[in-house]
Amino acid sequence: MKRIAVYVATTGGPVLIQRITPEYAPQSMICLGRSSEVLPISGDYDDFVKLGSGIIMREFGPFEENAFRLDASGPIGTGRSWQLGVFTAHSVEQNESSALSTPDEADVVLWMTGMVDYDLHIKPVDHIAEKANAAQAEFARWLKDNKRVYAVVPKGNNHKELLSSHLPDGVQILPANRIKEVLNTLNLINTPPETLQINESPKPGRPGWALFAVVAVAFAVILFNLQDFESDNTSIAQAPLNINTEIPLPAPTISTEEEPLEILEPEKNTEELSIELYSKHDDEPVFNFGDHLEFTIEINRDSWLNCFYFQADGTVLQLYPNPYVDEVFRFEANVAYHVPSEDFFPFKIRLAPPAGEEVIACFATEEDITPHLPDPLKGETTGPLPPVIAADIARIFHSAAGDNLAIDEFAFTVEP
Amino acid sequence: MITYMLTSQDIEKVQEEFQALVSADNLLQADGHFVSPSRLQAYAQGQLDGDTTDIENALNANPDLRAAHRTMIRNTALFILPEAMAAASPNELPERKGRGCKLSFKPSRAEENLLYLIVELLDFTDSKPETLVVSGTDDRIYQISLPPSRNGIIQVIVEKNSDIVRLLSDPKSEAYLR
Repeated sequence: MKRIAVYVATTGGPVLIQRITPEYAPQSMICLGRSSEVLPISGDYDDFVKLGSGIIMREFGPFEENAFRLDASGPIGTGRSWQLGVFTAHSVEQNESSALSTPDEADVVLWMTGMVDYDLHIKPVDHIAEKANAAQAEFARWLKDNKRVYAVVPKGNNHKELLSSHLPDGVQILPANRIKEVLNTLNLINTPPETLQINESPKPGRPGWALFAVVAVAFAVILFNLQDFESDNTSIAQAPLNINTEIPLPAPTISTEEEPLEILEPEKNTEELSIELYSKHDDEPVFNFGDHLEFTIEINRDSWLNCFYFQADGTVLQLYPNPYVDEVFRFEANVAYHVPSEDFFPFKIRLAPPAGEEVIACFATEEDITPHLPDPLKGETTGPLPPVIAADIARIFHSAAGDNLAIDEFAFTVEP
Repeated sequence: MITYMLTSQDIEKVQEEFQALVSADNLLQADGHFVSPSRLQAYAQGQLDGDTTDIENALNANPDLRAAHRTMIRNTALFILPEAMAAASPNELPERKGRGCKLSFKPSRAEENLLYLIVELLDFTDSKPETLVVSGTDDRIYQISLPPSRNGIIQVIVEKNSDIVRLLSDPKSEAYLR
C-alpha cells in the first residue's frame, strides 16, 4: 500500500487533506481538522463532486453514498486552486494500492495547486510564488525525513513561476496539462467503474477513461469472438492476422443431403449499452444568450431515453420526456437523433441567463423504467426538479435500471 | 360641560380592556424587569442586536411570557415543522414535515458523535431561512444559525448529544424556520 500525503498549496501554507469519507448526507463538505467547522468553500466542493456540475462522482462513482466529507488540516480560501489536490486525493482513496496519509507515515508527499476543468484539463492559478514561499519550511522538513516530494503545478507560466521560486533541491517539479499526466506519473490510474458506464463525447482533446473502458470492452469482445472463431475454423485462424486485411468469411456450407435448413439467429449485439451525446461544435463549446442549443444523441441498442438539463444556477430540468412530447417511444440503435426534432423533441432550447457551465445528461435503458422512477422524474412537468431528486438522479436511475444503464453528458458554456 | 353616562355594557368593556392591560403588564414583567412588546417581538424574529440577557432572564422566569414568545415565533416563522412523525426505529431520529419543507437527520460515517441535520425546502425560491428554532413542551427555545441553502437544501453538522438534537428527538416539540 502506497501512502501518500496530499497537500493543497495555499498562501497561508500547505494544507493536508487528512481524510475523505463517503457520507449519506445530500451535500459534500470540507471540514476543518476533523472538527464540525465547515469551511466556506464547501459549496464549491459540493459542485465539484456532484454529477452534472462536477467530476468526482463522474470519474469515481457510482457510490452508495451521495456525498463526501473531506477533512483538511487548515483553512482553504476562495478560488478553485484546491481542485487539483482534491481530485488527486480522491484518486488516492479510490486506488486499491494507495491511501491518504500523514506526512510522517507517507512514502510520497504531493504539494499541488491548479484548477481542474470538466474535461480534466489542469488550468493555471494565481500566487504560485507566495504559495511556494509559504511551504519552504515544510519542503525542507519532508526532504529531511527522506520523503519523495512532488510539487505539481499547471504547465506554462505557473511552472515557470515555480522554477524561479527556489524550491529546495530534491523537490521534484511536475508540470502537467491534464490530470491523466499526474495520475500516470504517480501510478494512480483507477479502474473505471464496472456498473455505471459514463461515455465521453467524441471530442478532440477530451480525456476519456470511460471511453477507453468502452473501447477496451469492445476490443475484448472482438478478441473473444476471434478466439471462438479460431477454435472452429482452424484454417482461417492459422492465417496471419492483419488488421488492415479483410478477413474472408467462411463460405456457407451447402449440404448435399436433404436436411432441414438451419435457421441462424441474427447475430446478437454483445456490446454493452452505450450512448453518445455530441454537437457539431468544437471542443468546449460556448454558446451565447439567445442561441438555440442543438445536439445529437446516438445509442448502440434500442433504448428508452431520459434527458436532463443541469443549469448554471443549480436547477435541473427534465428535457425528455416532458409534457410537450406527444409520444414517448423506444429509440432505435445506431440512428443519429438530432435535437430539436419535430418527431420526438418538438421544441427549441433557447439559452438565457445566468451564464456559466451547463450540462445535458442523458440516461439510456433497454427497459422502460418509468414505472420505477419517482413521480418528479416521470416527465410530467417542465419545471425545476425538486432539489432532493435533482441531486440524486444518477443513483435513482442506477437503482431503477441496475447495470443496464448508459449515461453520457454534453457540457457547454453559456456566455452573455 | 358635557358629561357622559356609561352604560353597564360600556363599563364591562372598559373592565375587560383594563384587565387586558394588567395581564399584558404582568406578562411583560418578570423579576421586576419589563420587556416591551416591541423588543420581545423583535427578539422573536431574531432582529434584536445587542445584549438580550434581560429578555432571556424574563423568559426563563415567566412561563406565560414564554408562551407568548413562542406564539410570536410561530406567527412570524417562514416555515413551521410541527410534531415529528414516529421514527422508523428506536435508534433513528424522527423526521418532521411542514408545509414546503422537511427536516431529517443522517448519521455521519466520519464521526460517530455527529449528525447531519438536513432541511429540505421544497419552495426555496423566495424563502431564505437563517435560523432553526425549536420549542419544547415547556416553551423553552433553542436555536441554531443556518448556512444559506444550496439548491433548496440546508445542511448543518450537529452533535448527537446537543440540546437541539435532544429537543428535536422529542416528537412533541415544534420547530420553526425563520
